[in-house]
Amino acid sequence: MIHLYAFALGLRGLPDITGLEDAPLASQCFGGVTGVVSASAGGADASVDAARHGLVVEALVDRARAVLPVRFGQRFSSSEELAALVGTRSSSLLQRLEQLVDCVEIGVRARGPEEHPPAADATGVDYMRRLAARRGVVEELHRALRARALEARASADSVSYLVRRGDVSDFAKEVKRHIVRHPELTIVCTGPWAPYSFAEAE
Amino acid sequence: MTTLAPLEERLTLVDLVDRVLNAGVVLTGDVTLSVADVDLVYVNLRVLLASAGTLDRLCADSESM
Repeated sequence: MIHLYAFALGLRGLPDITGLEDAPLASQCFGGVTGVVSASAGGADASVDAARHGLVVEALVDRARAVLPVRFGQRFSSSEELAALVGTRSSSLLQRLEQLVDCVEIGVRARGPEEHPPAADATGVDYMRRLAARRGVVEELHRALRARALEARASADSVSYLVRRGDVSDFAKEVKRHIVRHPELTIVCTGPWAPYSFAEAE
Repeated sequence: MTTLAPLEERLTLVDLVDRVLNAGVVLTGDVTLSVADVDLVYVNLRVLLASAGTLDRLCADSESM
């Protein structure tokens, strides 16, 4: 079987690490798009494999103009099967890669302190007002970050931002400003990652 | 004895695995998942490889249908 890690644009050589089951990485060209793959027999620990998949993708970020991560678990019986599947989507993959040149993803989670049950001296109205105020502060944070990002995707408890490499420092400073200004919030910022959340076009 | 990595490292690993499992290009809808000491299991990507958060969302979606 062949395990697929990512598609890349302008890949400058493979990273000096091995893939799943310690197999060497290989590249497969599909027109202007390069697929990074390795042979995989399966049977290893899925959680270890998932982490290894992620490490390979992250290692590609510094070696390519753009990286389009592939979701873990995409395996193919042969190079021909992979080529046939990619062939039907090669133009959209190339288009998305060109949009992601020099871009990375940053994840931000922000939440206020839990208050269950509300303080004994507070009325229900006071409690709801405090909740609304906290929500407003979190929304203000994400509004400020959205203005510094190209795209944003929200999930259950976090927002992923697509940011140009050159803007990462300013983005991080904006997060830090909010951390200092609102110590009551728990703000967790991770990255920069390969743009997983932006791999599929909107 | 297992020594836990610092919280920051664990958090980063969780974030990485979360992205690996929940995001990225999908060419085929199904995936072959291998688990230690268990034969290859053919599963639907949307169900067994989902993180807890995704499962919660899927459950909520199915209940609202």
